[in-house]
Amino acid sequence: MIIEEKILVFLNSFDFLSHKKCGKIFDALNGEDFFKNFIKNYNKIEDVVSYVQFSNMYAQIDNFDNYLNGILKNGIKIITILSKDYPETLKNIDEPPYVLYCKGDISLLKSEFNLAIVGTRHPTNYGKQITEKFSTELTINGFNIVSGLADGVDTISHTACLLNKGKTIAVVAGGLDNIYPSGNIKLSEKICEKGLLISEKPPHYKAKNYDFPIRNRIIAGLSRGVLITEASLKSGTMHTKEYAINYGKELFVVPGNITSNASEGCNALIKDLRINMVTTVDDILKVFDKPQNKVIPKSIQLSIDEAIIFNLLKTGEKTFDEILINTNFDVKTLTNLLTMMSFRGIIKKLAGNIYSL
Amino acid sequence: MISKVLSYGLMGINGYKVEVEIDINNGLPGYEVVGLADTAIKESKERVKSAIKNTSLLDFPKYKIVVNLAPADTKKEGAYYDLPIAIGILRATDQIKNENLKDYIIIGELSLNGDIRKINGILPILISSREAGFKKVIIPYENAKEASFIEGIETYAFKTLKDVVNFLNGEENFDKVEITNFETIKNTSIVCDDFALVKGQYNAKRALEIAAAGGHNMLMIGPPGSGKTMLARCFPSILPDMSFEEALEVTKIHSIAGILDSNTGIIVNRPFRSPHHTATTVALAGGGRTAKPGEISLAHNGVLFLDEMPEYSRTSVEAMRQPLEDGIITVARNAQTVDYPARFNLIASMNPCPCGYYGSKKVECKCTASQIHKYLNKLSGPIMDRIDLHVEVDNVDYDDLSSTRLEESSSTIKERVNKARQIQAERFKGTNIYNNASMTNKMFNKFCKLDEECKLIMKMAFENYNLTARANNRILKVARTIADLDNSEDIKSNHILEAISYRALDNKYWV
Repeated sequence: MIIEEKILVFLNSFDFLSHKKCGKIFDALNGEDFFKNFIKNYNKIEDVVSYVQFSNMYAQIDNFDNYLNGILKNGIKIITILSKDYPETLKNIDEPPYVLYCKGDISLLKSEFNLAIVGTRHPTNYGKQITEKFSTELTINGFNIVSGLADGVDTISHTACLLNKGKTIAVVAGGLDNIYPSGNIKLSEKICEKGLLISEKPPHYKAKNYDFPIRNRIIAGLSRGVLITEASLKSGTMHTKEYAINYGKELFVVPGNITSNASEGCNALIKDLRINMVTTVDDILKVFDKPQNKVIPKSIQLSIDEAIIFNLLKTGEKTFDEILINTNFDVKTLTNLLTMMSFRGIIKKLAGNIYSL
Repeated sequence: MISKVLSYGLMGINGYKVEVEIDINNGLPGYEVVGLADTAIKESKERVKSAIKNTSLLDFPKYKIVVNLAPADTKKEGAYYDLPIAIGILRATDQIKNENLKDYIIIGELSLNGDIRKINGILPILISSREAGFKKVIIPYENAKEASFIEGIETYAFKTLKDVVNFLNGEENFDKVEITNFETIKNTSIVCDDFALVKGQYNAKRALEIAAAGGHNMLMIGPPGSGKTMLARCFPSILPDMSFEEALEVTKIHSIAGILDSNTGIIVNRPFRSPHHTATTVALAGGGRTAKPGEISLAHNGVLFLDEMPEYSRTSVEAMRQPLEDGIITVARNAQTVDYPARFNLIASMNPCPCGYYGSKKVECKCTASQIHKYLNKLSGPIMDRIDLHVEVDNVDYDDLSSTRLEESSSTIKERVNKARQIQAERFKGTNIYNNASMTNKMFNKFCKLDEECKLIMKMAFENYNLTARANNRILKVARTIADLDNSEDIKSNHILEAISYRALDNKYWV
């Protein structure tokens, strides 16, 4: 690691230094003797940091090598903006991160087939289904799925991608040692193995609420396109959308039920911006001129009874009671049929005793 | 002069003999009670004195009176001894001439004007004294109904002290309490909640039928207002009728707790207890200064319904672990250790998430996945382990409510349940196990044999659901019950399939 990179990592380790301040200090003090002469140079940066902050920084200089080795020992790779591994696409975004802390396969950063899937943290059953569907099919078609490791749509897209042996990139808002939400720690470990986990914050950093929307610019920056599967009007996903538009990325939106709050954001985008509305993966592939890797539907054999249920569920998801009333099976038989069909993967049982295809 | 009267006290659900000894001597007029009596007994002085004075032709002696309650080392509680003390004093002063007082067990509380008041726990006292070989008992009139179910002992019920004195002196004849036949009042009982009144919820109803047939514990998960409580209230109506012995067991406990209706005297319907979630551990498990039975004992042979189970304090829910396994709870207090029976069917309900609407079609849920996980984790593993069935209950649509589809009535379901119970009774003959739910691990191999097809289905289930090894046993037990309901010797594939569908929380699409 060259001295300039070390300086960047050093500056990045302080919470009180914003992106702008880091840049200013780097420009002012950059040089071979940065660490040696640091104490003498307060006058050059006194309009950027207070003296207390300055002495804080000075106190950490002796410790810095330990700090750096500690991070590297943890299996975290550090990529700075000066490194050749740093993806060009990220340099074009606002405040491109000076340092990226990565765990996993860093070649993914430069992949041409990164596609972001983002959306609400509280997806409806519909949102869950289509997210899973799109993530699965995009993975099969050779895309790497980029998302933010949050609850809801993010988690589903990562999981579906991994399930189909795809590569996925998770951009987290906090440090790599402070995965949030804690429920996704296991998922993050899997992503480290089979994909890439990155953050612009030092590993010890705990994410604040304002870090989450800012991190979305990296998600947008890394990807060729952004797919929004379900988002309400006030969703944080709307930030990602802004970034995607500003950086000239393709934006894809899946329409939702007009009565559903959870889809208001998506529907508004389609209405206001006349953005690519997608209903199948094919719509996305066409934009990128990519031939479709057909997902071959499994051929399934249905008995007469099963066919009745299958046809009923084609009209939309139904609760147990609704199926019962519409089919005239008795309770026992229907329970058996539904359990068997969900084992065979023909239907899914969702929370709330709801079944869907 | 000395006199001796026999009475009874209560320890847990068993009675024990108490000898009330009265000594009347010359000296300063006074009244002393010895023999570890509590305040209620010590205060009997004023009640006994006034009751005797206010009864015509009776005199309260102006001497030194000493009352001893033997055995002297057992703490005695309650107002059982007013009447025996009064009778003892009257005997000691020769106002009662009966020589054979020791043939009688005498219990009762006195009021100031000489009336006899009802007491709690008459049924266990009668049963214990009958076992001890006593033949005649004198009890308060208000307790007569309760006593009328006990055969093999002559019970006399009186309204006033005067009547008792007249009876013992042979001046007036009183008939003993007539025996009531249990079967006759059994059929007059009315069950208000009937499954015929519940529209929709077919899945939950079927699960309740299985729970009743196999004695399985069950958890209902659903949004607020979906009818979980109503379903639970109907549950006792499909439970098999109580036998007389079972009814006596239940009545005993209720009698001790003092919540027995003196008009019926015996509990005919299986009890349905639904303690509020603010109930303390002691209220649920039993205890307190006098080691009273708790809700789980009051639900003995019946249903304990815990509405909104995650809201109960963790300690009070965990306290149910032992009774859920053994059907008995041991309440230890400084003076005594008491065993109360507590074999109940646990029916619990909960919302799927903190806001209550996860998975609901009508209202959007605002909870995050981690919030939902946290909420579900409020139920500890060991407790969940004792719950065989979990089903989801969805909001009923208006269309459902107004549908004309004929709903099965409780009595038809009950018939099927009764049949399944008979099969189980025969299966477990000679063991101390009554239903499939309490089957031991050894019995699995014997009664839950699976053929190849069933094994294949179980394998599929393990792949599709997040099943654990213990879930495996739960499924087998439930499948056994379903097979019993179907009157089938072997567990078939459709039984296994149905059993698996009642593991809602193991489904991977959950959260």
